[in-house]
Amino acid sequence: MAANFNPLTIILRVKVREALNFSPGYPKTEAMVLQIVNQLVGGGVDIQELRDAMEWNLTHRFIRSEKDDDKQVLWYITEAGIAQQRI
Amino acid sequence: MSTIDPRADAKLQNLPEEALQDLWRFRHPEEGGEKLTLEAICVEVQRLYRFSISLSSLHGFYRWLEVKRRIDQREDLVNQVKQRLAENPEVSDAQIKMAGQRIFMAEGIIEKDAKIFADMVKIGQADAKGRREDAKLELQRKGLKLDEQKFALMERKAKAMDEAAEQMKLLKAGGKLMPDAERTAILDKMDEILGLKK
Repeated sequence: MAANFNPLTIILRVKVREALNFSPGYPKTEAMVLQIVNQLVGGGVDIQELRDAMEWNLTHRFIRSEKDDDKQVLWYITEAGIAQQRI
Repeated sequence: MSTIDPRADAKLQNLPEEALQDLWRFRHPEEGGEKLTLEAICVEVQRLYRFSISLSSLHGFYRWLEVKRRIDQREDLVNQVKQRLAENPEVSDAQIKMAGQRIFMAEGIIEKDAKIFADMVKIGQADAKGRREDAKLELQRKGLKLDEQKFALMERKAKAMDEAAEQMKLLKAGGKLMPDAERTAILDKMDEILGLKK
């Protein structure tokens, strides 16, 4: 049986990579990613949907995270993520 | 070789910078220029770059391009700040990198003035330097206190040695004829002075 995909889920996965692919050398917080993704899709993105999309990208190693000195989680796109954005 | 055909919006996003600027100008012409409709741009994309794109993809592309331009501007600003900071030999590469990250993540405080940002970083540095100086002074103060304690201890020891020497003289002067009780009293006193008495 085919999986029941919500088109928005797939769009958000792409948009998360798009957001992190802007100035890829600079990290972004989750709040920044949410703000950028909202600008890319025209608003209305739910934080939990965003987290699911980020989790999916993390599982596929398209994005990675690290903590700064203040224990704040920072997000980066990986080389694999950048390559994925080209197709 | 990959057989996957990139999405049309990915093709647009991966166009060279110059082409992206042309596409931006189609929608945001300079003064007196003609603003093209999305339909007209679809035709232009086909003509200039030899691939077709849907209206909805083009609409999404322009949203992307707007965000990209804003973030590129921010990155330029951060790079200017980093250059200014790099002119200061007291600022390490790690500090420059950290300052760059912080400024990049600081949303829209001052979008266009690299000098003000650099000044803010310098103020932060001066503040940190002040705190370091304070810590240094505190350490020096503690060191001084330790020295004072050490000196007092040495003074006490010297005094004890003098007193012990005095008792030794008495012991020597008494010689073998000194009564046992007196000798014991002097030795007791010496033990007391030298801290050997239990």
